[in-house]
Amino acid sequence: MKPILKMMIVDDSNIIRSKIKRAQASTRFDVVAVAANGAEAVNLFTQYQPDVVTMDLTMPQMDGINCIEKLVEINPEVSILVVSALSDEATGIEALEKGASGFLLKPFGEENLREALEELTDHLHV
Amino acid sequence: MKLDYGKYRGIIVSIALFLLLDASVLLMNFYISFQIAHDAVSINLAGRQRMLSQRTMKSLLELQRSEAGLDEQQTALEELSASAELFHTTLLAFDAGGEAPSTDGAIATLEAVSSAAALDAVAEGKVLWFPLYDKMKSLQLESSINSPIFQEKLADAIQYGHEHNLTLLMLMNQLTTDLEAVASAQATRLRIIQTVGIALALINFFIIMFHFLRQLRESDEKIETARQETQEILDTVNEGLFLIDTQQKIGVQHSKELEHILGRENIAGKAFAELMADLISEKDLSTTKSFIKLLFDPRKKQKLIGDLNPLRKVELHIPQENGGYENKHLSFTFTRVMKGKQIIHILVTVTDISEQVRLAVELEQAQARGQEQLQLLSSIVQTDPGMLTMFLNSSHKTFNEINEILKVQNKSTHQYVSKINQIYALIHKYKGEAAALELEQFVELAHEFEDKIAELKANPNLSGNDFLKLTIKLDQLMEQTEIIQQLAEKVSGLNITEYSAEPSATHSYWDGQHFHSLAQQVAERQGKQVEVICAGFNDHALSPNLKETLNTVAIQLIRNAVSHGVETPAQRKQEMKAAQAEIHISLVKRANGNFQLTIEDDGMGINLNKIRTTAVEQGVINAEEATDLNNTKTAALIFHPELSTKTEADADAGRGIGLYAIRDMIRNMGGKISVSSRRGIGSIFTVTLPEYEKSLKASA
Repeated sequence: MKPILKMMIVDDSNIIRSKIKRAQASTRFDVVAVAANGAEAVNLFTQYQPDVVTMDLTMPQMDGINCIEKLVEINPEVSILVVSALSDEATGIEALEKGASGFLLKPFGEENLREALEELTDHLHV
Repeated sequence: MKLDYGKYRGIIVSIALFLLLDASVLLMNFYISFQIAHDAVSINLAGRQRMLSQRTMKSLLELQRSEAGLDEQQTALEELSASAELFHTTLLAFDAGGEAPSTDGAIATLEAVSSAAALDAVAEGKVLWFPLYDKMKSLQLESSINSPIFQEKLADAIQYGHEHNLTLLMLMNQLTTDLEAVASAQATRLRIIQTVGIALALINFFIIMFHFLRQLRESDEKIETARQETQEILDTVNEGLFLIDTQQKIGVQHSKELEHILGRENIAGKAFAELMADLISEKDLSTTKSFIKLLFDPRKKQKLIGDLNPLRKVELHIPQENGGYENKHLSFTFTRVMKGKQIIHILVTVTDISEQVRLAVELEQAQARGQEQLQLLSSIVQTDPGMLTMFLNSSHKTFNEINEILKVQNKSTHQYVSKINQIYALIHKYKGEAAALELEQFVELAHEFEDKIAELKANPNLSGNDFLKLTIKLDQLMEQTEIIQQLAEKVSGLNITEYSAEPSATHSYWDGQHFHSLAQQVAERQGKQVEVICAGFNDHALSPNLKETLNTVAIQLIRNAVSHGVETPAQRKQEMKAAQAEIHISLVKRANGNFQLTIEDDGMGINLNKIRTTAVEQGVINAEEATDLNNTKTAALIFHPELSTKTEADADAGRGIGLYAIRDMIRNMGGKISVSSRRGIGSIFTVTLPEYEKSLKASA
């Protein structure tokens, strides 16, 4: 039995946030927090301590890469999936170097996202 | 770590057996050596029994000797006692097992003799010895050696000794011999055991050797087969395959194709960065190195980082042996190689996807062509059917004429130049017509054709083969025209081949609207504003030929007016003119039956000075001629085949040959063209064409 995992969505686009949230309805990922920028994400992360985070890279106030760095500082075990349109591979790679574990290219289908999250967290129930 | 014994079981058993065998032989050796040592003691003691039996007898006789002193007799008695006791103890030990003093004074433990001969000897020895022993014992009990009783007992003992001494000696001898025989048998057994043991050990050793060598050979063969198979795979696969270690160094093996794909040699053992240096940008290289590093990080999900691979699709310029470069599209995929849970290598697969990319581009182009055809279709739908029919007819005619010109064999450069100019004139006319109908695709193609002609013009050493390029372009044009004709036939039910030569058939649909749209298009491209006002086009019944010519001429002159005459709105404002220029086109029939086409614009007029300068610059006339040239003759230069006052050729003008072609065409039909212009006020082109019958004759 796979455990229920707490999830946080970080994206400045309302549409993407809703899309991710909708894709997670009736899955084992329980969306406990939704943040529209990096600063908000850090606050909510401390408060809700999610296991999984989906992270946009380009956001106001604090961008995704800085946010990943902060979240990993708070909890090195967190599984972060970068969800971003790829303008340049180096940025995506930097996000992973800072501590994200996977990258999902925008635009994505709901099924893509669910599969990516399963893959991202498959080590958590072994 | 759990060891896999399976492969080595045979050899382990063999070695264990070898050790066991060796240990057994050693143990047996110990045991028998000990036994032999023991036997030696027994033999020694048995030998001593022989000696003791004689010494006892000797001591008895010593006691009897009358001349011996009392001391000597006393010593003899003690010796007798010691010898008898020693003999007695040893005999009992031989008989039932037990201890006896050994020759070196220590106590030896003897086992009871067991062989038949020894048993006999001991048993018989006991029978003979015990009475003697008793007699000697009773001698010792006597207090005085000289007493008659002592002497009597001594005489009795000697008497008994004499009788059995030899037999006793013989029996002890028999015991010794027998013990020696037993010992010898024991030694022989030891030798046999040793020999057999060593032989077995040797056999075992050879078995091990054989086994070991066979296994070694088998595994060598397996390794060699595996190596060969790997090599065959690496030599055959179409992809570049190699491994990268954690230091990002390439492994010792790689597929043969890799060298070919990357155009590099001696790849094995190189750093990946070194391999890719000069092939990809430094930024890409650094990103790729970071990407590979991520792949070695087990916390990153391989399936979720594929999109970050910077070399997923990359265009490389591979240096060639001839010093040139070959462009290739390659795809690199990176896959983790796991050993248990450890990532030990990254397998890199390099695929040449140039062909796929080429196909994708072709597909894109095909789609674009489809799109173009769709546009074409929509332009057909929007185009006046009569105009379209006229355009298509004119196109066929133009292409045939170009074809005829191309077919003519030429010899001199002059002829080639003339040929080029003729073709140029025709295609330029065609381009103008296509533009008038907004058939952009044809305008494009015609423009490309003109580019090809320009290339030929620039070539001072023209040959017949150079015209082949034009033939190819012409084919393309004809093909496209064919397509549009078919489309047009399908869409609008036009039947070009049945096009009627009756003047009335074309009468109804020639309102000059297309002149306006052409002018609009050209003006728009040049940032100008213009209105075309038409008059008289519907007033006359015209033969198709005449109509076509008039159309072509009007189009070219309108283009010319917009490009060269009309100013930009800003310029017009400075000149105190309305922002929108006007071009008046009128067609009238003169009393003599000739048709007169007038195209009048309110633009800047012809800049005679500029024409002079340009004509000199372009080598049409020399500087001297220029100064002598009057205004009328200068204005006439605008009809010269090689003059253009626009610096860059575009779809609208700049090829100069347009007016030249128009003049030729008009002359061919027996007509004439004139221009009058006033600087800052505008220009008027007047074209006169003979009536229908004459024009037919002229074009025939």
